[in-house]
Amino acid sequence: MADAHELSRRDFLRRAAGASAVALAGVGLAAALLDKNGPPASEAGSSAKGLGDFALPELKGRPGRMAVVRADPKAGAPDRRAMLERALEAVGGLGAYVKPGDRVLLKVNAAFATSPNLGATTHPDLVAAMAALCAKAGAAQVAVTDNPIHSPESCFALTGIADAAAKAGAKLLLPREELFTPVNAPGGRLLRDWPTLSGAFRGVSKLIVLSPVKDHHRAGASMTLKNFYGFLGGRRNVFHQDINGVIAELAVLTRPTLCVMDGVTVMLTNGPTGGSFADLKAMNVLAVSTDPVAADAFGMELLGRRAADAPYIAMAQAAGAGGADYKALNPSFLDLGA
Amino acid sequence: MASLAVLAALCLIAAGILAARRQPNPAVAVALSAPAPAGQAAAGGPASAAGTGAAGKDAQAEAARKTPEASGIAALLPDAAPGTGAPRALAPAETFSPATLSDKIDGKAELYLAAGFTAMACRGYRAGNARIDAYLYRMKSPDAAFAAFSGQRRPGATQSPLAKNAALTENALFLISGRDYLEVIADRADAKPALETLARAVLAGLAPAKGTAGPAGASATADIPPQELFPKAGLKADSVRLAVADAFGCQGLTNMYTAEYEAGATAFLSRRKDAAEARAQAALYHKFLTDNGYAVQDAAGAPAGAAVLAMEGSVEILFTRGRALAGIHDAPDRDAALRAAAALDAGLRAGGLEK
Repeated sequence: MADAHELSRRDFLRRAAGASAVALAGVGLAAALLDKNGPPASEAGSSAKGLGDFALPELKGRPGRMAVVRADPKAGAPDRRAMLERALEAVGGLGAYVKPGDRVLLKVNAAFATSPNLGATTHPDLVAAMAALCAKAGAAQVAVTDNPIHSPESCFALTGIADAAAKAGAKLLLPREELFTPVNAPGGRLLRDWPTLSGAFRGVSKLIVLSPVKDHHRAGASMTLKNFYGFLGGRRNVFHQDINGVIAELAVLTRPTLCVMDGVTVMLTNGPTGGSFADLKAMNVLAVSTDPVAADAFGMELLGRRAADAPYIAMAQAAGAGGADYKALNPSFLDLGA
Repeated sequence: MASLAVLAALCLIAAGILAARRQPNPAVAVALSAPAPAGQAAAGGPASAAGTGAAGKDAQAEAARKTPEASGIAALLPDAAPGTGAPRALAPAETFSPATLSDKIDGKAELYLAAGFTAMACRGYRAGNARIDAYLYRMKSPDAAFAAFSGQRRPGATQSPLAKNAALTENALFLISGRDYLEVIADRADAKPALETLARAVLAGLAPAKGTAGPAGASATADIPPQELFPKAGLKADSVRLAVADAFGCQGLTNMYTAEYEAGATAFLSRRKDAAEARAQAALYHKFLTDNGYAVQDAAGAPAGAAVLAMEGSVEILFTRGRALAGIHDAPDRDAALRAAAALDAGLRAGGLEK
């Protein structure tokens, strides 16, 4: 049976041309709207903002604050909480930095799945002390985070940080994939559209960095600024080829409210992993600073080195992240128990 | 014809768009290698514990982690060491390749990579109250293993009887066997017997160290191991080291054995492929020194053919003997440098390296 609506050759060509014209118009429109630069970074990680500036507004353009507390080893094992409280008191009290309702992010170094007494990670006693003090100051939330790359759960568990956070009522933020967005470091040459732990900063109003003081095979030293490396995701080991450059860029990625450097036990050799107690030395020192560059410059002295031995310190200063002359902050040097 | 023309135009536009967008958005590219989501990393076994496998997206790293070499050495970390109370494994071994080593040990990875690293396996154990972690590094050669071992030697470590190059500290044991470097680390100081028990169990599965070059044992060739050529008088215990790359900070100066002496000088020795290469390395180091402020001095009293260079408070002497580059580094004064150089030269000649 013949089809009553059989298409003539002319109709077919006319309809095909019409359909093609519609498709052509669509493609043409898409081409016209094409953004050759691709989508911008997300709001949380725009190049303009980095990860955010959490420094106290009243300290902008002014010298930071710093205090160093030394515990007497003859008085027994150093009490990190007592040392921290003393140091905080000397820089105006934690209440000057953490206000009721603040949401505080504690950036720890949980890079390795090792016991805390190997000194390769932030000591859990310090995490517990700072989390508890923030809660006491009225913080609405205290979260603890780091991106150890390999097996984060094991790292947080074996370092004792997960337990310490839980006992102090702090929330543990493991580096889930959805917490990473591409971020540019302001003026950065290396950190461009790099996946960064920006999701951990959602709603955060204060950032406190808790770092051990360690030798580092590649960077020379791992303290506050190197601790920022834990904000990076991806195959970040590519930056080891320019470790000083990337740390200097990390230094301007965010500005912390406070930096706490734990020099109670310092890893003098074979860092950043150490492994032997022979790599460690009891220095019984804890420092608090609003300036991460100054904190690291002081940390170099604990390692028995000059600030110039870690080139990223001068580079971070040049990038405007702080000052390497920590003495310009007129730090308070205190003896616990004195 | 009209429709064909329209289709051709469409193809041209599509080709134009593809050409304009041929560079992938870097944000998308790097986001594909973001860390694995929580929960995935710890889920059983070395393969899934890859961590930076990034939720299965970083297949390249995952494949790199599972190299045959890496899988092979994972089997060398036993489930348990023999004996009651001996270490028992807590989880399967994890393995790492050159591409993924830094995921586990961060910046320390470069030390191994520079020395000649091929694979690493690690495993956690429990022995009584102690947690013990074993790290087995497979290097490219016995010399590479010695470089990793000697580069991290802890002052005050004692010799363990388990191997010729085996150092025991308060809580850790470090040793080499052939081209394998083993670290066994406890989280407390009272676990030495367990460390040695576990190390013995691992050693039992390793290839015998016989025939290895370098300080671990007899040379694979007829050569005398380099450390045997350093004069014994005044040699500091356990001070012989091997810098595989960039010795003394000089880029390109490679495979350099060093030995420290009580007099404050450091003797160095590098055995090269042939005499021409030895001379080229000597020239490289000579240039490095002069570029960094050292001045060439009169070589009177130095070994034949040697160059003497000095900068305030530091004297360097370098010379070649056949395919060996040798010398004295950073001696406190000229006399000390000349004495040390003479002793080293005599040792080389006795070892037949003047040829």
